[in-house]
Amino acid sequence: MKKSREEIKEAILNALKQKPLSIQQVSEKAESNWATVNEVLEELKNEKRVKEIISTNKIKFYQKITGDTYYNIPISDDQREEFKHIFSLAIEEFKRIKNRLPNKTELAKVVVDTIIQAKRNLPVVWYIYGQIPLMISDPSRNYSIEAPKNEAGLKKIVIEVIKNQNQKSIRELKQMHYIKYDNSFYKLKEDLLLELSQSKNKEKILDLFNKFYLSCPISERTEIFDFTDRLYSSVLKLDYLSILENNRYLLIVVLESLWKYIAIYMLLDSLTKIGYNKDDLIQFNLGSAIETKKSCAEESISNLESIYLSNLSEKDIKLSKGALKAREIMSDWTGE
Amino acid sequence: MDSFFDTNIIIKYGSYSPLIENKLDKKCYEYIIHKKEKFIVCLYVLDEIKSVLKKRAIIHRETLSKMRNREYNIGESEVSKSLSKEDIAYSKKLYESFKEADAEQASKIFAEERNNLDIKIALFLKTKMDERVIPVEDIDKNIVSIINEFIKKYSDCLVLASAIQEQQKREIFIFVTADNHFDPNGYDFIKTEPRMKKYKFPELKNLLFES
Repeated sequence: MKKSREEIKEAILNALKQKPLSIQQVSEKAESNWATVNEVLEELKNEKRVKEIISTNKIKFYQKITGDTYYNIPISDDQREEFKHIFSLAIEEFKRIKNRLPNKTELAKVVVDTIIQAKRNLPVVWYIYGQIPLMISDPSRNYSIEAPKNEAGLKKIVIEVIKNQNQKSIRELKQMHYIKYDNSFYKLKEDLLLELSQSKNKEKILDLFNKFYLSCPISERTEIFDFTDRLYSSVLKLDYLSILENNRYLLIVVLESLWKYIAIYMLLDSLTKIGYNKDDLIQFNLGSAIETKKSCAEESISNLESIYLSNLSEKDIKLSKGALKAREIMSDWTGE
Repeated sequence: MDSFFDTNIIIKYGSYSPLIENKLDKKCYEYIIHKKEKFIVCLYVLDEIKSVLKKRAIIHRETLSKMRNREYNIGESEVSKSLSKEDIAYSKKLYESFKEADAEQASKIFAEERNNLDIKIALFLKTKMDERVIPVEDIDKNIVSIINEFIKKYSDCLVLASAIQEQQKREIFIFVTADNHFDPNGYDFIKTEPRMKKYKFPELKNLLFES
């Protein structure tokens, strides 16, 4: 029997649920011929239900627009429904207990804590501000759906989580989360940002940058190593030139742009750990974001380096005993 | 005469410390501080300096990874893939000397050491270097390929080719190096190669072979 236009559209959208596909692949999955699929995909594109993407190997693919997950990363229908239910419960209970709407971060953290405590099989990932649900947290959205059977248990957990969320600021809330889920690297980044924005304790800033450099998970990512090393090295040089203090705000900007680049790899790693295919993610979801964040990090670090170079002047530099020892060991090394 | 520098001269100049006994570092340092004529550096050498400094940072990082986790094998990370066997041996030597120290403290020490080297080199490039010449993409591939028949290390061929190319445009300068691939006999041999006869060669000064 010949399928109607609407049925073809549904079949195509179904075919695109898991991951982006080429026209040929959609045509095979949706069991419609290439020309029809091409035509319907154009319609769906105009309706903003799918988008065309060029993969990293320059092939044209179509991706279903869900709009409710980070980078359009696919989740199943069941996961979407369950997420919506938890978001809805969290907003409702937050309003009831605290007499106000939660902000984006508060909502995300309540949902993460609930998912983990209730041991729900929903994707929770590490990104810029710590752990987040893969579905985008939006307190102004109406998530309500029909409540599932086990709602009472879940509601109890949501209430408990909200009541325990007593942090005075978003920064504190994020810090508590990093500690709770044992991620000292995130905590270190937050400490460093705080120190740069508030403190005038140069030694503490240098110490935190050293810890950040040392803790950065860079062993498998050459660019992250390169950027982190250049940032730490620039900080030491600004200190050597006695201009660290004047450039604290610039350092915040550079650190944040580097952090966004590091965090997208954290996201990629979290997703890979819960079963997403790394190559697909890079090809269809995260590839261009990785490149953009890399360019931003490169630009901000180069800007910092140019400040050091333009201020560089002859000044006596002595090596400490330890550094002399390290130099002596490397004294015959040419590096070529 | 003007001087055209190979990478190792600049690295060794930066590494020099009066408190460390290293004759070659001292010779390179003294050559540079007794500057008379112009100092010329080609852009390939500038790139090579960056990559040498980066390698040094990776060597330090590998040592620190081992200090933080005794089970870690130096040279097994993706980042360390650019290191040679010799580089890895230096990382191991550093580990043996610093293994009892606290990793955070060692990280500060290594960073201080690298920083000192970076600054001295940056100062050299800012205050002592007079000319940057020959963009990497303009290096004559024909000259490189002929030199490569005599000198196996490709990066050395690129530096020498840059020097020879620059030499055609100006009065004889000194090609200053401290590399055993540029031994005086081998250098003279390249000069006599029929395909190279049309080129003016810089005068070789290899500090490694000078007493």
